[in-house]
Amino acid sequence: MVAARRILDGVLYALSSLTLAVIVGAVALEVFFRFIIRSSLPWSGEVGTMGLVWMSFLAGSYAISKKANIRIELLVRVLPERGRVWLEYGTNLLLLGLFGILFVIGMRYTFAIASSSTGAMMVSQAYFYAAVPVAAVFMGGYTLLALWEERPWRRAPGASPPGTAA
Amino acid sequence: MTTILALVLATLVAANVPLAFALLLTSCMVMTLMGNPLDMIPQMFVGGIQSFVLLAVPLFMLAGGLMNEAGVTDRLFRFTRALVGHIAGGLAHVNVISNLIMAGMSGSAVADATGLGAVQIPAMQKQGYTAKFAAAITAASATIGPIFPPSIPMVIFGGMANVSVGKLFLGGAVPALFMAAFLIVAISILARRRDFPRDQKATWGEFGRSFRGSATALVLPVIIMGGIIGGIFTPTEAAGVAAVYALILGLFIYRTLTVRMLPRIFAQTAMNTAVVMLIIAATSPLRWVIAAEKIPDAIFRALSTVTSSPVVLLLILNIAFLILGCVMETTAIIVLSTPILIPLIKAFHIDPVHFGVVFVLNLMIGLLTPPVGMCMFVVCAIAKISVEDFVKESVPFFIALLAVLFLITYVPALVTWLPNLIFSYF
Repeated sequence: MVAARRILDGVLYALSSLTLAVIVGAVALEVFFRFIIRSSLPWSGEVGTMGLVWMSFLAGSYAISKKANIRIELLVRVLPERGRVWLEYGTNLLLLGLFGILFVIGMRYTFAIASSSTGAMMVSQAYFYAAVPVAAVFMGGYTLLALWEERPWRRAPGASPPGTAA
Repeated sequence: MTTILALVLATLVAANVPLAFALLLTSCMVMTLMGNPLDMIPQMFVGGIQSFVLLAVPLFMLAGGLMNEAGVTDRLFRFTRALVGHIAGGLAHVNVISNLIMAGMSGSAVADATGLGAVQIPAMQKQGYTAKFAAAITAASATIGPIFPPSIPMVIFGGMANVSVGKLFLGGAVPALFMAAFLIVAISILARRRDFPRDQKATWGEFGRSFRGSATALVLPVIIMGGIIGGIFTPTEAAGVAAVYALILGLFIYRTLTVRMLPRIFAQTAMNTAVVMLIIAATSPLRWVIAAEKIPDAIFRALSTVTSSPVVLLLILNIAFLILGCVMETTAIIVLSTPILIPLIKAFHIDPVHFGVVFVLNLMIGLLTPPVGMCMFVVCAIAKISVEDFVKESVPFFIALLAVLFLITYVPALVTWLPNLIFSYF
């Protein structure tokens, strides 16, 4: 499980950095061509927005691993430890269902839109929308790992066996 | 259906489901209940962030991250210390001025509080300021960041509300100067009462050296705003130029960045951006539900029975956002409220640029208040003080910022004068 998480993290770390680098490159090229070469690049804006879509979904998946997603924890803080663990498990099950739905509808939409082309690069729109099912796989993978690693019935390391004094 | 939507969303959020997924789950449930197929969700989800304007968010975040890693904050601190460090309460004034300059580069209050706080809070403590005072003024000054252009919250608001980001940026310039001035007045009053320390006046040589050290960084705000005002760049292109400039500065001029450091900085920036972008994307299906359910109309009708005055509406909204800012994160409030608010402020004939700046300032004040004020947490961690100590010490600065909020709410020209003037030429 540790190895699986390390592999997923490594892949998404690299892809997140790479997609941001693509965005920087696309916008920098747009400025360079418009002001230095004095000829606009027709595709730079589209590459940039495609980079933004992919970066958001891939780095968004990485954020699940790092528990960096924005949550509102006001009410959870007042719960006892055990309640919090079970709630986390329940929300992870719910999220797994959501990522399953996202994968199915994402795949369906990606295939449905595949014959439409983008305005500037004239490539299939599927290159944009494939980010949804791909991210759903990564997000689902992390959620499965969390369900296994944080299962509430697993005894915490160092905890006293049931029925003995701490 | 509106009640179901609100209940489902509130339950999921309270159950600690990440906000982006709580929004998406709510949209899925409500769309299913309305008898609509879920097949449109991917289109709305991706469409919500498929925007050239929103490209400015990761680029400004990257520029800010690179500047912090390259040690620009340290250089700015040395320069402003040589400039105003000799006044009573010198380092507190330095804090405000360096945050104002940093605001011209990064556009994120939390990034400014982290970067400058790490330099300023220890330096202030070393000179005899209490840790709680150093933390309070650092957090209060950092709120200038997203008001003075460039501003990440304004890019998000402008992108979602279809309001010119360039006008929003310029609209924030005068209020940001007011914020700095009001904070400086508050410091001066406190300096007289508490007999704050001061530096020896810097010699011309010292001042010249500190200026040379930071001059290349000081050019960046000029490039960004000059480019936008001059109609040379769009805000997104300005963000791209800022990121590349910060990269060149760190790699080749200061030589404080190495190529090996870049993947970590890029991945961190990508992740910080993605958590915001996913919320924006997830709001997109919800916006469709909100429109289909005519929720803004219902709110407008309800508010119309209370008032027809834009002045009263702005007062109600200010109070609501100050309270919301205490319990919710800035981006979450922007993306959740904007689809509802924009039809409302149009119906009350309020200038969206004026509203955008007032809205963002409200949320920045929320960054100083418990239980979720991010700037507060950052500086409390750096200064190693309790939230209680921070809250007590930040009262004068909180009042100063509220005074600016009141002023810009009821004197709209303070916001709209500059963008109207500049954009009348282009």
